Amino acid sequence: MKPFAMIAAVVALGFAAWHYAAPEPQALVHLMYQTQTFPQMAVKANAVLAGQVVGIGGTRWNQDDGSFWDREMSSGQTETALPYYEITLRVDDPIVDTTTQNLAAGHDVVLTVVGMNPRDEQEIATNLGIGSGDHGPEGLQVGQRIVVFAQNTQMAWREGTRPVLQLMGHPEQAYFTTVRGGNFESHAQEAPSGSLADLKDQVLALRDGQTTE
Amino acid sequence: MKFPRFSAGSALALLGLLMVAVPTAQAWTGMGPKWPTNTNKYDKSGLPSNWQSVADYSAQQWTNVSPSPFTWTSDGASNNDLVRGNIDGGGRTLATTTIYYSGTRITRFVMKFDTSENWYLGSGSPASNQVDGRSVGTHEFGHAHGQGHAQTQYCSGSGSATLCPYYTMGSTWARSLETDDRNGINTLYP
Repeated sequence: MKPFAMIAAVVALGFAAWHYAAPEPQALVHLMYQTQTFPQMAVKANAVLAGQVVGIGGTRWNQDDGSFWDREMSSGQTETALPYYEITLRVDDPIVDTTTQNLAAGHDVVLTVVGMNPRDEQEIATNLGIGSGDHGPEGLQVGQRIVVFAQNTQMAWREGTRPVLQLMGHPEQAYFTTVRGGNFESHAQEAPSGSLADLKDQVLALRDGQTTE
Repeated sequence: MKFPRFSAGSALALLGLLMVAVPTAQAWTGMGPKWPTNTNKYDKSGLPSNWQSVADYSAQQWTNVSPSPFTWTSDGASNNDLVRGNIDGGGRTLATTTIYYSGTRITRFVMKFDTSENWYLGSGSPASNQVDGRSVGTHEFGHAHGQGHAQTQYCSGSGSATLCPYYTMGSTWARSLETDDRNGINTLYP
């Protein structure tokens, strides 16, 4: 091989190695949420849905390809990406639906949670070996039956905003899960415990019958 | 009356039993990375003037913790930026703190307060439909030095740790740190 070709090959290999070894920006984001009581969620929700969790996505960042970004603003300050993840719910019973999505039984609906997926946070902390990450109560699992409260919102996007159906308040307070005996319980403040029928009655009473039914 | 002999081994066994039987109620968590130094700065120049005293108050709560030597000071040349911007509209996410890290070290942070919220920026009492800037700011500065959220089973509202992950409109209890918050920074930065 001629010396020039050899140098070019070495340079190309070096560039490729640098390109693929360049670390992704490493960032962690923590958020503070406004809490919502059960009565507040029942009244304000655009969707109260009973169904089964069929998917929980990993952390994405608020641009179309989902990767992390940041940029300097004209003020000289830095704007950073907002993390989110998505929960896919197979709807059994659309208790309330004032969205325009026609959330009928049997349909899959995508719910957005602003913030990092807790499992990703936990993994980062564990891998670093010097932290524990947040320990929420047992997190939402694929296959669980839940009753979830969500609102139509405009989430910040890299350019402008994006309409999403977002869990209300703190994510751990936005849903009821089934517990032993088949009753539904929640971490939301002032949340009742009871059967799906009980819960549905209470939501509808609080909303004074303003549902799709 | 005879008393049983109390050997060193049985004393250790008793101590071990007590440690198991009396669980520690530590609610604070670490995010993972932490600052390599105890003296760090923040740039509040990206905030309107009425927000800047809120930022100083919030940072000062953590600087005041003893015996931790960790301190925050305001410096316009710092790349640890405090900004305001849109997150997700009013009544939901109030603020975010993004931590940049390399290995186990925090290298910078960017703190953002949602412009859509109905903020109260004074030192008195917010109305029941307002979000207290000092409460949220103090919470966010806890993340800025590397503390994560307090475990939610210990968060019951007034008197709970400042690093509980949610805020109740009109409240001010998160302005002042609780023992659990102080234990966090004292452990991370002894």
